[in-house]
Amino acid sequence: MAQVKKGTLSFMVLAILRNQEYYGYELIERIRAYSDMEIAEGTLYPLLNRLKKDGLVTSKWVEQPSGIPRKYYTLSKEGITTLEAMSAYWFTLDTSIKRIMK
Amino acid sequence: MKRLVFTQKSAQRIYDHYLDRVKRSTAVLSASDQQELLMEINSHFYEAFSHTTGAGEIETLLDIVERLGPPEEFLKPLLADRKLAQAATSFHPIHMVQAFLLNLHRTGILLLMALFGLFFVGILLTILGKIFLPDHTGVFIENGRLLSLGTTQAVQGQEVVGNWYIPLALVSLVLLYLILVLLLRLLRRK
Repeated sequence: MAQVKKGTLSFMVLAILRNQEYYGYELIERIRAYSDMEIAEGTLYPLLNRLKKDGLVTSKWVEQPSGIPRKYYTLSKEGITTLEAMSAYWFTLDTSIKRIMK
Repeated sequence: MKRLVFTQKSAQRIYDHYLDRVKRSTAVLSASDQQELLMEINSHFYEAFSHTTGAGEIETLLDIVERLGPPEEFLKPLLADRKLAQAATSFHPIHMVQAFLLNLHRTGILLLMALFGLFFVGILLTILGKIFLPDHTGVFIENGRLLSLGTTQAVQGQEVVGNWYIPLALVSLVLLYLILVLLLRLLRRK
């Protein structure tokens, strides 16, 4: 189960970043709003680092009036392509599983 | 990096302690990687704190810490990734050793199989040795001390197993294989 959760978490992060850029904490809030996946929130930071290393997202520090900058993550071109491929695969898988479980 | 300041002493301690844990568990990384990570965790604290209303400082911080989880645990994959990248860009042997150790959970199984493979092929070759170079292959003992095992160029001492060599080698191959399977099971359970 742990492996499934890890894989779906990357998928979820990419899907959330599809329309808008987010910083770490905000992204966690989104995940919490959309799912009841219970993860240690810290897990998200190594995951974002991995996605960045794989070229699926880019990041930039943005200064804030508070003096504590936010690190924003944006989906890269490759990230968009990957997300599309993942979604297509997901829907096929979903159909197959439903057919099997019928 | 601008650190957060809390009015309650205990709240300050909770925050300082957590950031220290992050620092300690990322000590193997380069200074810039460490700084970047610390800044991101610091920003997480700031954002989470300013998005929470109603609860007291201590309560809010304890909640943030609990939800983040232990940094020693969740930073592990990041350390392994970053260290590997660092080892690939510098020629410093220490980085290579650290990268190897941090990635051991991934490389361990492969390493184990390579090692066993080597032994396996080695023993198989000595079986061929016994067939084609029977005088040079076996278990050689002198005065109760083992001089050589397998196929050797310079024959010394007394050969003790004779024609039993091949069956014995086959039995050790089977044993080796069983040990490998058991070790793999143990590693996978972890």
